Amino acid sequence: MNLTATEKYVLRLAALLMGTCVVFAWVGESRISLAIAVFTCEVLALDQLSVHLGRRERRALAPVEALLLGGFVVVVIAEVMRVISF
Amino acid sequence: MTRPRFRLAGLVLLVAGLSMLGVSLAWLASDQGAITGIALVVLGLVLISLSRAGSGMSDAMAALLTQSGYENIERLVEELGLSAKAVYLPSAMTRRGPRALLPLAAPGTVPSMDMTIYDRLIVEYGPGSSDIGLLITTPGAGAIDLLSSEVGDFPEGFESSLRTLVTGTLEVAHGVEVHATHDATTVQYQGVRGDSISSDSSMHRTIGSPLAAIAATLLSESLGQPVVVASESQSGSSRVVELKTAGEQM
Repeated sequence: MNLTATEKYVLRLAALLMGTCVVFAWVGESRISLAIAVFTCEVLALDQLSVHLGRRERRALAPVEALLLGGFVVVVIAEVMRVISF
Repeated sequence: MTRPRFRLAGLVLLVAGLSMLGVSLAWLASDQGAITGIALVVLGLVLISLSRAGSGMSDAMAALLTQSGYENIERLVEELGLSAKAVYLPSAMTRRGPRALLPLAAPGTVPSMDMTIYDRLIVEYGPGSSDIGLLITTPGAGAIDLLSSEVGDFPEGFESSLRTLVTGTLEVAHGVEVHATHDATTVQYQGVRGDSISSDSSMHRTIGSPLAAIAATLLSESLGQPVVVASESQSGSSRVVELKTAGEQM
């Protein structure tokens, strides 16, 4: 099937995120904070590995990356606070 | 250009993800359902973002501008009776980026590498009285500006830059393969779309199709030498462009 670089990126990301959900369910992992951290890492890593994405596409993805990174930082801070409070 | 189907799919995934997240947390008490909801939200946000990664111009308007630009150059080429193949010059030889030189005389002489050609429409590119030509901008010159970095060294860097441009940024082909021999470089595009040019037109004979122009411009930048489109053929959705350095061809 003939797909553009952007379409391949979307399919790879969908497969990655849904695959992660399946693995989480398979191993019985139910921590939402861990899922957010894993999803963030996956999106950031795939963005860096998709070298053929255009400049406009990369610029468009920047706000989503920033949002995910923000969520990741909140999760990390919440975990640190939880550990400290023990 | 926007991608309406990306926006629609993104909105559907976003709504489905938020619904799944809310229902899982509020009523089902299912953390794994919530995780799936978060994944759908992330995917939806990515799709909505990508749907906005357009040039801001409609496809129809872009096609109109391209067509009128090519037709104007074609009228100029026909009116002047130009028959020599265009020589794609690297930016090192011109003052304002890569250009294509259309020699008035055929076969034209090759511009000297240590010569800087002024960025004007009618230029003198050699010591001879017939060394006069038209210096024009082709789609390749504009395409290079879309790259986030300089064109890489030949052949790996050239192939990578070309692939990024045509499959990623411009999305006019689904794949690119580069084969280099001792006297020519062959570029094979697979799954070409939206780039058709009549093979018997004067534009095709002198400059080549936009895809050929992009490959020739990138190759001239990569090699730092003048390049010509030696031949171009299409079979189905696959197009083969043969490029040579100008000294070997002319």
